[in-house]
Amino acid sequence: MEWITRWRKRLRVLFRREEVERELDEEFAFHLEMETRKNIRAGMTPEAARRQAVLTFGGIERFREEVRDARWFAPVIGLTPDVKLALRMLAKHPVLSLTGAFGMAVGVAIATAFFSFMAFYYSAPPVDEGDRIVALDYLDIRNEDCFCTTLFDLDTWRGSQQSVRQLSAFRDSDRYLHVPGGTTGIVRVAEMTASGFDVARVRPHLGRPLLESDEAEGAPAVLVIGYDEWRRNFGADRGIVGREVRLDGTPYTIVGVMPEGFRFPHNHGYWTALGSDRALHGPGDGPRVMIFGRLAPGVSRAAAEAELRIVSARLAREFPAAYSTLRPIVTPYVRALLDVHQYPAWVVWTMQLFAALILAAVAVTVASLVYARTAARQAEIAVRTALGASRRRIVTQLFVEALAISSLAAVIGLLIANFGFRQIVAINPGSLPYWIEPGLPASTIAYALGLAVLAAFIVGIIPALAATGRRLQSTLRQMGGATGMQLGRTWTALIVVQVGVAVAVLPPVIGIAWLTYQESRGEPTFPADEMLTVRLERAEAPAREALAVPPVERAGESFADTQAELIRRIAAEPGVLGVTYASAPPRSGRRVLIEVEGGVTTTGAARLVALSTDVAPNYFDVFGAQMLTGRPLGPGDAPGGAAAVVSRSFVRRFLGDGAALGRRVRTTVIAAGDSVQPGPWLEIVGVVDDLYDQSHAPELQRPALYLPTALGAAPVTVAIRTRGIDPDALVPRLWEIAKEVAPGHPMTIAGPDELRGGDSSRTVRFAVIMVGLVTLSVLLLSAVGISAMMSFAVTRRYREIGIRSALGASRRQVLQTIFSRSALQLALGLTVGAIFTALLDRLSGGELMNGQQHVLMPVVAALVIAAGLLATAGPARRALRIHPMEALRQE
Amino acid sequence: MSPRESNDMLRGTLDLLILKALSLEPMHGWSIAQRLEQLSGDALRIGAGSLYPALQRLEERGLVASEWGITEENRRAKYYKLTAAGRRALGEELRSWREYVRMMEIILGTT
Repeated sequence: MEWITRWRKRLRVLFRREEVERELDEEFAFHLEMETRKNIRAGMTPEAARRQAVLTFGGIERFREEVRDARWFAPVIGLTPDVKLALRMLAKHPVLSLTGAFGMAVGVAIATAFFSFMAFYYSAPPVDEGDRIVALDYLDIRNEDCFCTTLFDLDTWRGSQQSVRQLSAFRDSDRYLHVPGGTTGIVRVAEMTASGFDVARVRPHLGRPLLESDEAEGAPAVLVIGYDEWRRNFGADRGIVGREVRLDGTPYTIVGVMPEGFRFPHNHGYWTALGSDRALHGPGDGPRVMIFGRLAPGVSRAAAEAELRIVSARLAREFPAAYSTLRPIVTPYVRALLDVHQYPAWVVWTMQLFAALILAAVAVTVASLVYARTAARQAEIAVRTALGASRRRIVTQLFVEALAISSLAAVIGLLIANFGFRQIVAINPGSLPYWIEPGLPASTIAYALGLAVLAAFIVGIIPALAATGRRLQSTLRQMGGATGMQLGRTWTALIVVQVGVAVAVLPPVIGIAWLTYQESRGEPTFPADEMLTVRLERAEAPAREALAVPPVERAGESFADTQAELIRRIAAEPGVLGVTYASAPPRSGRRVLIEVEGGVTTTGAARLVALSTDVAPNYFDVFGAQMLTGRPLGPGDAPGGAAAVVSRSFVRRFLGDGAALGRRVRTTVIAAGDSVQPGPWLEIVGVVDDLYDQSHAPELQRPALYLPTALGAAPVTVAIRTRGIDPDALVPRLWEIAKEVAPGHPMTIAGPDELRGGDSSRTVRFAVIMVGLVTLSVLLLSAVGISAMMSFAVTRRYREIGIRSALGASRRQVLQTIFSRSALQLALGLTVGAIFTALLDRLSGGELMNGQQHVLMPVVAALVIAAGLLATAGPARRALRIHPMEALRQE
Repeated sequence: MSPRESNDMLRGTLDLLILKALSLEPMHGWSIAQRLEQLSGDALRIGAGSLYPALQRLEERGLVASEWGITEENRRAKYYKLTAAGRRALGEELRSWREYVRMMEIILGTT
């Protein structure tokens, strides 16, 4: 039980210091009184007795210090005097310590998050000699872009080089899995050459891996599954080999189960054979695949690359159109998976350096705060030096103080980074290579500790060296009055820059976060629960995901016909009430500038931004959107014609609730940097209700403009409205139809959740938290900077203020002196920041703040001013409390 | 002997003396100093600067406990008393101190 009492006392010293010190005083007073009485009994006069008692007792303050030291710090953690002193100083300046720690924590979070990425960057698949596995790719020297290898390249390289063995290829494909009597759903399948299993050197848990014979045209369709999938979807059935499942409706026979933990090549649990259709494709044509293999023994990556260059020089002569701009590269496997293999390592290192520099920048800010505090402690330092403390000892003490702050920062920073990491993985599962754990590797923790030392060095040693420099002597002489340190201009500049950064960075950041949040709250006015959207892409679309599909289009059939057939087939399904199409899903049309005839032009102060969507004649019907006035777009409205329908918010925002029908508008597509000619004048023929109800934040309602369209070469988003069935139940049929109508075309399906916008809430919450942290750290650092500056100014002008109030200056005048200075700095910072933001906004073509600057700028300005004034309040109060007599006595 | 070592020894000795003084009855700080002075025949004067840190140290180690009480003159004072752990520690310290003295005697006596 005694330890409980002991700990209670320790905590009491920590949290109820005043009470503890009062008790100490009482105990000492008692001791003095007893000693005095004893002296009186020995025959002294009361005064002499008292004096003698005090003399033998010594200075009270020294005892207090010693008793405090003897108390909890030392025995609890066995700390050195430096650490004790440091902890005490930190506790004495909690605001500076906590703000500094928090600011640096955000810096540490950014730097360590990037460092974790570096750890992955240098990782290798956890298979035998995984570091010898390399990816082969082409770099297009025109745009420094990658991932353009095809099966043709695989075959070429297999036959023409020796540096990389067991050349293999894979591509991702999302397939609809149906297990008879079991689970169904969309799964990611690796279509991989059989040799990929040889590269991994891993034997199956059951059955066999893919074999080369599976790649032959017309070979039976076989499937290898992963261990987790085997347990989860097939109940760990040991007799699974030979069972049949369906992928997109096609029967596949399971031939093997891979061992636990094996998810090669990326993060896969299903494997099918790749390459049966390679005969169809020529050079530079065909589906994009990722090519990989093992470096031959003794061959370096550079040597392999050199050999490939010889091969590609020959290809460039034979097929100049396809190969003349491509340069082969051989990179560690993981870098191709992370899609960073096009960058040389030094680029990644430079980015890492910049990430660390963010922390260094924060540390410099904190250092200047510490410097100001050190300046205030100049007298203490001077006395200690005079008493024989070496410069090294004082610098060490200040370094240890800084280390205490930065270690706290490192811990918080790691927690933030870890949280961020997990969120990203949770939002986008399966996006990381399978051997990368969602969390911070041990090396990152070591790195964070290293950063803490670096930050402590900046924060502690530099101000300490400056403070213990040559001027000490003079400081000693003028102690009590002004401190000898000059901070003035540099400091003012620093604060102005800090406020400027806060004002420049915060509006767009807050704006984007707020917008995303508010949009996620928009409620659909159409029956989203009954709807699905399907989007078919052109097979040769250049997007990376889309590339993994062959352009098998039936002879004589255009993409428009393919899409029309798809729509016709879907409409014929039972349970489908209506099918329509548009150029984009709801809420994601083209952003255009609107110009109203006879109204405000787009170059005016407020930019009129709307979303423009091309829609089919039955679009509003299928969505159940109510026509408020006029008519919908009909079959008579030709694409590219003059008719347009606008949304309710469009009328309210741009036409001032006046009559809309018959008004003419025209649009300019927003494109960064390009000035585009406005399109032809359009006549408004109808007004329709908004598709999403943003009445909680009407200013965020995106006004919509609908133009007529017809199916053409461009992909459309097909919207399906069901009745009496669960829209999700339609998904398998959609995949089957797509496979028949448009084999090989990538297709994405969005269900009611996506249409409702609920899917993004997690991303939004994550973004808001991260933005909040950065905002808070920037604001706090500025505020503490201003506070420290003002506090310093008050200390330096202690006598002046004292004399002025002695001469009859009113409280108002004293306050004016203090506040006018910080107001000036704030004003300067605000101006710099505002100019910078306005420039950025203009450069981004108004995208940065989305036309919300008239709300955001004042909000941020008010925040910064409030923080600045609040920060000045403390020093101002101190200035008011300066007693004239005391100030003069210090002379 | 470096100053630090002698300091440590003195500190240990003072702790032992305080424990010994408190083994008789609970006492406040001043009377501990007086008692030790008396017991040593005025040879030993314990300064407050050594006494109170030592008391804190002992309390921290759980060897003594303190509580506020009233003196005979009706004055509030902080009383220190030995804990069970303190009593054990006193026994051990005494034993090792005697051993130490005996050893020193042997060495010094033989030279």
